[in-house]
Amino acid sequence: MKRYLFALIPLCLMCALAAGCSDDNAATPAAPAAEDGQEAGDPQGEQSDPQAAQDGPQGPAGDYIDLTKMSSTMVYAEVSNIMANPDDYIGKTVRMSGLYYVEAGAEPGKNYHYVVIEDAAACCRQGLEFIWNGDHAYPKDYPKEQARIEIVGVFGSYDELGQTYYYVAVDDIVSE
Amino acid sequence: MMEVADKLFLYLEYPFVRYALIVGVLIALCSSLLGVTLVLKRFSLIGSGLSHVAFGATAVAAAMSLTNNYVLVLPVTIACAVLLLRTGQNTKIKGDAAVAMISVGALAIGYLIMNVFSESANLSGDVCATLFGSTSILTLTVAEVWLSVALSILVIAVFLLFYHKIFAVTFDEDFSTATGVRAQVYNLVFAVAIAVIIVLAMNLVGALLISALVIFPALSAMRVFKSFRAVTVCSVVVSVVCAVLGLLVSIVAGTPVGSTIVAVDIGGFALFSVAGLIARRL
Repeated sequence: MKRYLFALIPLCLMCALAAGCSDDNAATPAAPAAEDGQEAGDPQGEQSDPQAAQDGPQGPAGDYIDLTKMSSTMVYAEVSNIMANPDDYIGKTVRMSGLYYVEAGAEPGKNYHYVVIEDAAACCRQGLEFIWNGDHAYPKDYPKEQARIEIVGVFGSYDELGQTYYYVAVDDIVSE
Repeated sequence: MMEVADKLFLYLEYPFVRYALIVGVLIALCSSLLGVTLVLKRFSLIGSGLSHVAFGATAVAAAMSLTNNYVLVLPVTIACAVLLLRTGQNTKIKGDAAVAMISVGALAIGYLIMNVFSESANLSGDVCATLFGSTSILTLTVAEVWLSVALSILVIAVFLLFYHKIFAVTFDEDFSTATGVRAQVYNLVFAVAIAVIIVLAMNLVGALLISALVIFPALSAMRVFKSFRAVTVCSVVVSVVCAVLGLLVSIVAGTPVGSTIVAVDIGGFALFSVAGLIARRL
């Protein structure tokens, strides 16, 4: 009996120690990026109002996914989930921060823009394409490549060369 | 504190977090069940060796662009587990040398194949994810969850069904054989069960950290308890508690899942060592 009691003490201690761990991972947006810009392609999916979505329920059941308030492990897992089941997220508002990357398209002057996030071990990366609504020219109006940016927008899809691609339609880019 | 609790409850609403907890608990339970026997049979490092084999097989599966890599990884790991437990009795290559040979060989060949044949744009990321688990446990598909549940139930059933035989073979294989127990058959069954758990545990903590799941809970339990049954039960409880705590800490604090679980296991071992010392003095 004594041994059982002694086995319980370390288990309780471990639970108590684990309860003290936390992480405030909220991103701090800085100066806004320049405006003017680029055509948003031919988007599909229901477009919700980002502001209205932010006021509604959050979490997997809601229409607003705030990745900036999640830990890095959760962000990576949620973005993996978005990429694995993109149709479940069409029309939802996504707020995320990460590194800005750009990729040149096959057509001259056509560029694809991404927000890239890393996992906690910093060995895996996931990128989400975003399209900046309005008239914006690259590179003049866009942040520097690999700058940390924050975007808020509605998740949607478009078809190109017979393939379906998914993106976030954003109204503004905030760079640090 | 309330903020952390709110965050945790919000995270628990995500299906992939619940899947990770279910699979994590099952893997921790199975690995600790077998861990006690492995530690007592002086086969602690077999988990490490087999995980490297699983890494090599994963690399081959990736090079072959297999969508379900279990099809290849599971049979290869089972074959090597059987081979390793059989060569334990071989006089030409001793048990520890065989484990080291297969372990290092599979790791090297796996990395070589990944480098030469992989079409992935992020090779170092793939290697890192396979070796350290990364967030694999949080990106499981529903099919993978069901497969893990089915395989875990199979392992638990094997352990419960053959508990007395495993007990006998663990403590005195020669005596068991002399009394009519078919020790080789049970060793074979045990090898298959180990291989299954190793392949499943790669998702939780990655190939390099699997041994920790097998060894630490058993050693922690042995600090306080002495009987096989008590050590096994305590080992299961410690392993499950550590896996759940590690998983929850990693998703709340944003730390890598595998290494967080192992860190909690190490903490558990330290606490149980102190508890064992105090218990002996009283």
